[in-house]
Amino acid sequence: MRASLTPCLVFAAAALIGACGGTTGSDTFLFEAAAGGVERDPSQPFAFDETDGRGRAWHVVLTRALLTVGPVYLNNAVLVSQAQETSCFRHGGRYVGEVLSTLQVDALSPALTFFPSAGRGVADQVRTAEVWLFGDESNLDGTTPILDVAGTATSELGTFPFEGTVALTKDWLRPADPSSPGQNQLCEIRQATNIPAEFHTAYGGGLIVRIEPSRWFDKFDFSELKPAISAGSDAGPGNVVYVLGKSPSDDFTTRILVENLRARTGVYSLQWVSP
Amino acid sequence: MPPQVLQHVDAVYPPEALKKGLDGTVVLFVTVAADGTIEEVSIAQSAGKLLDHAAVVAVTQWKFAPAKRGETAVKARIRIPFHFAPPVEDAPPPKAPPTPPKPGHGSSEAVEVPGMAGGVTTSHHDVEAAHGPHKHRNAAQPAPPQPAESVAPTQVTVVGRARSAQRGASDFEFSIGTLRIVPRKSAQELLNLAPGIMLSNRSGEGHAEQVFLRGFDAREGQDMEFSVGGVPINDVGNPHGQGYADTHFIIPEVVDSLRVVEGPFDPHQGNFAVAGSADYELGLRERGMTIKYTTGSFGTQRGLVLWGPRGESNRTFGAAEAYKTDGYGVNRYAQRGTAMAQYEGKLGEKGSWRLTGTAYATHFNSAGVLRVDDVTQGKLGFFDTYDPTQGGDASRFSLAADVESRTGQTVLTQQLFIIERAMRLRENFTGFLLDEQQVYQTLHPQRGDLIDSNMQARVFGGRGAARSHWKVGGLDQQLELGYLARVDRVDAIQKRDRFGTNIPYLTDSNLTSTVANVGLYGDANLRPLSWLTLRGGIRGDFFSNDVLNRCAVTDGVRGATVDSECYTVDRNGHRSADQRASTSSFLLQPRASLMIGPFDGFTFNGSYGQGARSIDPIYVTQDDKTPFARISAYEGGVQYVRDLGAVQASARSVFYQTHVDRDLIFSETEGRNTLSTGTTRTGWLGAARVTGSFFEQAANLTLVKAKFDDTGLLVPYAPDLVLRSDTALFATLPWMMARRPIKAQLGTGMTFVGRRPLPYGDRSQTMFTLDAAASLQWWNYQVALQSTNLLDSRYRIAEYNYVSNFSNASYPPLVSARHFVAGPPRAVFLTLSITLDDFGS
Repeated sequence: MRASLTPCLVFAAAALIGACGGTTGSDTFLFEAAAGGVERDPSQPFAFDETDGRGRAWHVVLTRALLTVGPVYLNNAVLVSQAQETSCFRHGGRYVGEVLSTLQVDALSPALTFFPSAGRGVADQVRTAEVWLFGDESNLDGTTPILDVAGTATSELGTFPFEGTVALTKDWLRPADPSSPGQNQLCEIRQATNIPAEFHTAYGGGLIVRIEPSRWFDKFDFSELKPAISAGSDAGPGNVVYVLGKSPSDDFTTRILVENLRARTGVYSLQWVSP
Repeated sequence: MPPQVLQHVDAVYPPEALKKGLDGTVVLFVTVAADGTIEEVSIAQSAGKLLDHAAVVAVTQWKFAPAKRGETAVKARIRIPFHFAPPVEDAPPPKAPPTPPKPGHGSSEAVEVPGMAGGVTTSHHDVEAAHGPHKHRNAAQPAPPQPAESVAPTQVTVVGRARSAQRGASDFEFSIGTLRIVPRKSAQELLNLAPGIMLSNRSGEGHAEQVFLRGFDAREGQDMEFSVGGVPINDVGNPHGQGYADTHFIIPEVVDSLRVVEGPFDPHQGNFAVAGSADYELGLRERGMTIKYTTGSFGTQRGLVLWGPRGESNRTFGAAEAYKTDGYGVNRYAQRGTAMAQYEGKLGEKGSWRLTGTAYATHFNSAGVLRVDDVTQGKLGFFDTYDPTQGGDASRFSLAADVESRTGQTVLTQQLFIIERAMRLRENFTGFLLDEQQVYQTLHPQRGDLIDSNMQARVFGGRGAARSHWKVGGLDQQLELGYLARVDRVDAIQKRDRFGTNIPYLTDSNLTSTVANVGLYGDANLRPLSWLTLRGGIRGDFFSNDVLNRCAVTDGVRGATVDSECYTVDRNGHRSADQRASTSSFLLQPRASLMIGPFDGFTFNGSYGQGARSIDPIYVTQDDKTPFARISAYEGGVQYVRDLGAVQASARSVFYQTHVDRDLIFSETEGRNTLSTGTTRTGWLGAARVTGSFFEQAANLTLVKAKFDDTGLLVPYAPDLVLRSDTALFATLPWMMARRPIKAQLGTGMTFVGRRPLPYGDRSQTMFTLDAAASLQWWNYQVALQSTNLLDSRYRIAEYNYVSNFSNASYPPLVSARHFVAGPPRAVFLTLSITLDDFGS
């Protein structure tokens, strides 16, 4: 009988060892995240050329480009637009990474600044990302500016020194159709979603968000900005600065900038760096 | 072979009787259960209250080896006379040793009753044990032992009812017996006696326990068929989960035995028997009225009245319970009231009938889940809650009537039942995550994700069987044909409530379902050779579903009324808000067990079976086929039973594999189980039970690996290692009070659960709990001290990985995070009980 018990004990031991192994797949971990401007020589002025909606060429030199970004989400699916229309979050797919804090980024500097809190992730393929532009967490109505920009734009129309801040308030919303009151939400204009991102997250890695400020001004017509006297200056041609509008009623071109801040391509690039 | 006396205790001649010079013979009928415990003592011949009591006190301290039919232990009733005579002077021994019943001693007659009880022969026997009467004399004036007097054998009433024969090593029938001392808060916790079962409860004391068995997350019954005395418990169409089985209506003290079949190997098993089945058999061994009061930690109080009328079967009883607790931590208040009653009467000479009624209602709060990161950051305490509106209500009222009779070599059974059931459950798994803004809703903030599900159901049904016996070559053969018919009419609504309120803002579903199930089976129990038994047959189940969805369109389209729900318009224009869907299907499920042995105590077996879980009404679409999920199960095992005289030992070892074609995995966002792919579970279990004259020890270990078929990844949540131990020690202390013995009992229950796999490659913490109890019984009084989680281990009774947003922050967490439900800390309870022997006699 002892002989007959031996195989049972062997099987049981094998089962004991085997039962405690295996995985449900993936992994969960914390990761560091940082953001900065695109990689370039910081000793050189940030200059670029763009074409406005009327086909005019502009040469732009940025002297200030501060953008508050965050939170940041990573998703393993390419989202369908319908889902984004009405949802302030959970746009579909499955979220595999998140950085739940904000960071003011000097978009003219390639130096990376770390987000104040670690991100949380699961090991998975990332296909899209979301960069939210909520500003401070208490900025519920969006009145705190998230963009502060200044520079000079030159075209055949002349030179237009410009500056301004952008706060993403409900003023930028399109009027709602009374039969579809849930269609236009403030959250929609405060998120850049469906940003292409192809990498695989894994334990030990980190997230880098690069911001390309030149793309904010795609099709931007600086001549539509309204002139103002620069702060602390006397009135005079040399002290005139063109300022960004606070709402669509101020100028049309600032709306383009607001839209460009949410562009799914060009503005934000995300990269996963492994140790 | 009749029961064997392992230990006897002489009756003490009562001093009060001495004054009266009483002399007489008390004849007791003692029912010895298949596990050797005394199930019932009744007085067949009285000699007055004093002497009757002395005889009963003595015999209840006897220890028996059970009666046997072949190698199978069976229940039996024996007749034990006690002769009391006044003291005789100069007699040396103080007490007269009784003559234990022995096989072949004197004349005996075993009456075989086909169809009764399980085991190889599936027979119960009433045995008139022929032995001498026991003469008892006062210790001060002892009398010499009296020679045994022959007593004419008497055929007595059959006890027990037809039960299905054992299906191999994964078929466990437990007589609770002395292990009743181990603390168990509910009848469902008796399931821990079966190997591989882990219980978890995330939603309060009125919420059904979640059952994990052999790698199955059987949820609250979706994969496990529950019944009590044959009456089904699983809810059909419960919005919280198809098959939800709440057993809190069962008062644990009136559970006489429990049969757990791990796997679909018995043709009697019906819907939901995917991982297995559990059937509670009700009974109360103690006669008279017992009143219990329990008080203890967290403001817990429990009052219980048990009544077993003397002269009636131990299947005749009444029980009522009132319970309330403030609960550990925040928002765990609960209270309930329960009443159960059953009467068993004779039906001629060879039959019986029963009427069983139950009533139960509860109201409870629930703390729900907590995020681990919030607790580690100190935002919440371990026993806190996010949403104090979680909790629920439940009620169940049922009436069942059944008869069993014998005609020739055929036993006929018939049962009818009606159940009125209601349940409301309020759970919030995700905080503020799911309330998506719809185009046709006025702009709103996140209103909260509290799932408010409500169900009202009425169930009618019946089951019956005819089991015939015949002999071939002197070996008993059986064939049973039976049926189950059940119809459920269920109204189930699930809504979402605004956070912290009782106000619903959205209807998830609103279904009225009529679900019918007719199951037919043939079950053979064949013994072509004395060492070869083939059991099994085939079961056919017909399901029909008629579902009226009163909220068929939950998404608005252009033209929809703003801030409406259950829309009356779709992409093709106007439509009704409701829609009906009906479907039906038929399923054949073969099940068979082959048993070889016993050889020197070893019996080898192999089993195969198919089972099914019917479709959840919410998934019914027109003409879609049911049942929804099928399981195929295989196992091979060996059982070992050894009678070592004063010690009985049994052990089992089973290797098993099960395959489910379409499994259900719990979704926290849906608040219910959702479809998954096929899964396969492979594992091993071992169990052992040793019973001696002063102890009982049961232990089991189960190992399993549950994988998805397509990816080979582990199925989350089901534990892959479960270890359980139950121990009872009992003795009569060497001291007496007022010439009455003092009995002591100690019991412990230990559970260890390995690290459960969680989604995203995580593992839960291990779980280890130790429960203990001690009791003293003197005369009709008992005091017991119980402690659950004696070591006060801080553990997580449930853990999950999923997305939630309980902070309702502007930056919602959208990545899966660890959540848990706090397990109860140490609790101590004191129970006082008194038994009024003569009540109702």
